[in-house]
Amino acid sequence: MSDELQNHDYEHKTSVRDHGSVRREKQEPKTGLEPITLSLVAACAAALMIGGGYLGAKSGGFDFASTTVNGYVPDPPDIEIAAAELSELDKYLAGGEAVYKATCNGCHQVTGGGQGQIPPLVDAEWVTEGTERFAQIILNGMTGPISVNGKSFGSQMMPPQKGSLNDKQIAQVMSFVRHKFGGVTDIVVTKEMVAAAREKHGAQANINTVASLAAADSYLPGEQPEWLNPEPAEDAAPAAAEPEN
Amino acid sequence: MPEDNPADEDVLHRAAIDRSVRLPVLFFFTSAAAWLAVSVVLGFIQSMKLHSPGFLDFPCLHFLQYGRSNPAFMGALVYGWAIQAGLGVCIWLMARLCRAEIKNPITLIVAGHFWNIGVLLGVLGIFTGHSTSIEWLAFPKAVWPILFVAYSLVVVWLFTLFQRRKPGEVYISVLYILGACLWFPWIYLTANVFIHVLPGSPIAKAATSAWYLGSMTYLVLAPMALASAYYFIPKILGRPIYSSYLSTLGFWGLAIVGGWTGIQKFMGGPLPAWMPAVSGAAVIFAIIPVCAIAVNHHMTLRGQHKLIESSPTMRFTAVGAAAFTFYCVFSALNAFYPLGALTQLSQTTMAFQLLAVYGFFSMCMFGAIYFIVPRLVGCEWVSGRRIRFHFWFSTYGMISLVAVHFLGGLWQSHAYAQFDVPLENAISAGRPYAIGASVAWVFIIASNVMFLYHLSLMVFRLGRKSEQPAMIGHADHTG
Repeated sequence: MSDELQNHDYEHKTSVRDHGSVRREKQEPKTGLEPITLSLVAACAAALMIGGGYLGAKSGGFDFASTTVNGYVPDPPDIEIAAAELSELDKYLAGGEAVYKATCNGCHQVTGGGQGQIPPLVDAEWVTEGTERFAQIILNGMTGPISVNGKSFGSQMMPPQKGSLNDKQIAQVMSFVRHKFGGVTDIVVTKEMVAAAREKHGAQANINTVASLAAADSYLPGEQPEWLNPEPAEDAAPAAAEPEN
Repeated sequence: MPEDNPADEDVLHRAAIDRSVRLPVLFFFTSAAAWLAVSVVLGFIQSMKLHSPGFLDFPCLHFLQYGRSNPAFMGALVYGWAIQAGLGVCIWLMARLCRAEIKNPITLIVAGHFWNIGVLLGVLGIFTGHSTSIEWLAFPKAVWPILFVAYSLVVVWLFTLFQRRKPGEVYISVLYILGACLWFPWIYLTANVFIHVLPGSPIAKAATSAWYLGSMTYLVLAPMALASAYYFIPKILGRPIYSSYLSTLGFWGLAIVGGWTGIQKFMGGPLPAWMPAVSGAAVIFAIIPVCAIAVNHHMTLRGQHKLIESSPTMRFTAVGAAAFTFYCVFSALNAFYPLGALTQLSQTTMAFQLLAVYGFFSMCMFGAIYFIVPRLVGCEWVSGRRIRFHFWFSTYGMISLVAVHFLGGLWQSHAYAQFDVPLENAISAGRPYAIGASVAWVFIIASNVMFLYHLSLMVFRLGRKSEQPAMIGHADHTG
């Protein structure tokens, strides 16, 4: 093979024989003229459609102020917050809170701190001690003079609530006030207790004075409800703070 | 031999063209291969540092920490290896296709020296802590004008070649080379001006940087590698490229959409929503030219697929072209949020960049180098076994690297998206995959050290003096 391809053209400095790799390569490439197939045209059309749809959906109208478009920013996944199931006690106290907000906090304030001549509920002995006189005050109202937390109050009258609140509402609001403002978290007032109080004092026509109230150690008769944790001291303390939120 | 017997004048003319471009092209190839060896070693080191920061942790080697070795690796890979190899191939192809000998090749060598000095300063600058910390633009600010001027000098020479072309059809590869010639200076200048010279808001800088990455891939790396694929596939087959219409569609399609890509990376970010949307649409539209190119190559090959087995050039080019299609299709899928959300902020970024730079671009360049170098140095590749070694280690290394980074990134992003678990979980989720990547890097290093050694033998004229090319299969043809 090498003999027959030997180049005898001595005018060139190099001969074909010196360029084995160049000699054996094929011609420089050319371009054919086959038509574009229909399937490729269809594929291109599909890509155009998809791309155009994408642009329309995501571009936000080419508004420089629009930085987020639906589909870009993912919704945060459903995070499993340990949503503590409300206990019966919490539900009961939440009912009391609703009554307090509707009826009491106009005068006694959300904080239970009172204002001016309206006495506070926070840590008041009228709240924390005997439940009978507490129920009497709510049922038949109260007028001064009265000493609360060592301060004297007298010029304001609290109206009776026996007409506007039923036994359960009074029981709940009493429990709520005792839990929240009085720190009495181990027992609640039940509607049976309030019913007993209403039976005893409901016919009273006058507004209460200090003299007409029961003694500080007089508690309304009745059983604690079954759902109340027999040892609620640990659970009930945080629970008592929660209804605020 | 079954080939047509070209006229002797033709052969001598081609040989004369090869001789005229020999010095600059060999200069670009050898310095590119040297940078490639440096970059794959750095790639291995940065991969090790990602999961085992104690690796090579000596006081004298403090500069190899991940924060420096990673940008240094990318800089050496993209500017040291990829663009230089691309320029070498472009110079040779341009001279061949314009049928014109190059004049004053010494200018190209000077430009090549400046380019290498620029890359060297850049890499050293990163190691001494002067990195700008911007992806693919991490070289210190002073370096980019050097690279810009050096590249522009090469561009001027390529354009003068084009001016002196013999009359006749302008082959599609020439269009791609002219494209890469014009687009790189434009993209590079724009990105550097808006990031380094006249920086706007940080968000605009981030968007510019993302645009730079996308445009570099679609408008610089892709045209260079496609020019090579469009030349060598028909060249080795000895038949015309299938359809000029498809070639035209592929080229202009890429030219139109390529410069809009990149910003889809920031979808859902604090940018005007239309910016990522336009980029996302552009990578979807890019499917059109990519399909045209893939069909064109495939139809040109029809019935001759066994050539892929025996010709080194065909083998590398085929893998590169397949990786290009794969890259573009995956980029398009990535533009949709359900997948994009999982690939935005994790190791998948590395998978995509390696697929583009190594899987696609470098494989095409290897193919071209295996064809071109024997014509420049006048001897044949020493052994087909070494080429096979290079091919298989590169291919398997690249596939496992991309797969590992991609899957690891999905896993990692999935862990990032868990709002209610510590961030540390996401980082440790990527760890096994980072270790896998380091193993794959060993393959890549082995393959490229072999390549550098083999190329050095050729450059020092220690190749075989033979009439027969180094084949890697058993077929009898040219290539």
